[in-house]
Amino acid sequence: MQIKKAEIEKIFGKLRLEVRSTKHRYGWFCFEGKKILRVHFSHGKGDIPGRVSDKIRSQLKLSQKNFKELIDCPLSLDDYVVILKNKGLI
Amino acid sequence: MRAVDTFSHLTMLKTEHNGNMQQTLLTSEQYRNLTKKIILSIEKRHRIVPINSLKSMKYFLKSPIYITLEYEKGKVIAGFDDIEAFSYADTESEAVSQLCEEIIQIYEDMTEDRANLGSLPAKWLLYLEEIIGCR
Repeated sequence: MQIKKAEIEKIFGKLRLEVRSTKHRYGWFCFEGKKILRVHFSHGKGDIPGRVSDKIRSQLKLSQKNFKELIDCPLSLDDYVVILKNKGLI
Repeated sequence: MRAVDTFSHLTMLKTEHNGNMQQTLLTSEQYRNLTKKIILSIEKRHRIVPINSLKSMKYFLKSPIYITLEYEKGKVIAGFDDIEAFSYADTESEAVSQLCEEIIQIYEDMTEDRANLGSLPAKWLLYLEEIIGCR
């Protein structure tokens, strides 16, 4: 699955992932003050290689279906937290 | 095609069962050449290489670590799957350098905030402390 850097920015906004500085190429997903998982961030514009998109999806611990839903909007932050809880990560 | 599928396919090409008799379909040399071609084709897209250093004045690796290099549309993706870290760039050396920087950033992020790590980052930190030393 090929995605754009702008879509990654959208995911970062939606899940409130924070990139510490422009030097950092990842952001942490935090829940109740704890670092839960880390997600790659690409600065700039354009497409992200398909393998990189797969790796980002894997870092987010999402199925292809849920990853697409996260980008297309139906999957909310609350839904995502439920998924991580079901996977024992929270 | 996965490596296991490839070798199953090769075995099918090499022998054909007819009762208890086996008939060779490829000569040994043809079989060897085909195997080499398949391995080369896989290596063009995916390699596992050791690195001995994080290229840092502050940190060193206590033992070599194995990273993956994948190639896609002119980009090189360097990955360190044990902590789900990766980086991509136009060349192998850039991708590996960026991956080393990222491993150090992750290590520092987690050591600074070790009381607030979820189950997954806590495991990554344990592992990184086993392999990274401070000069």
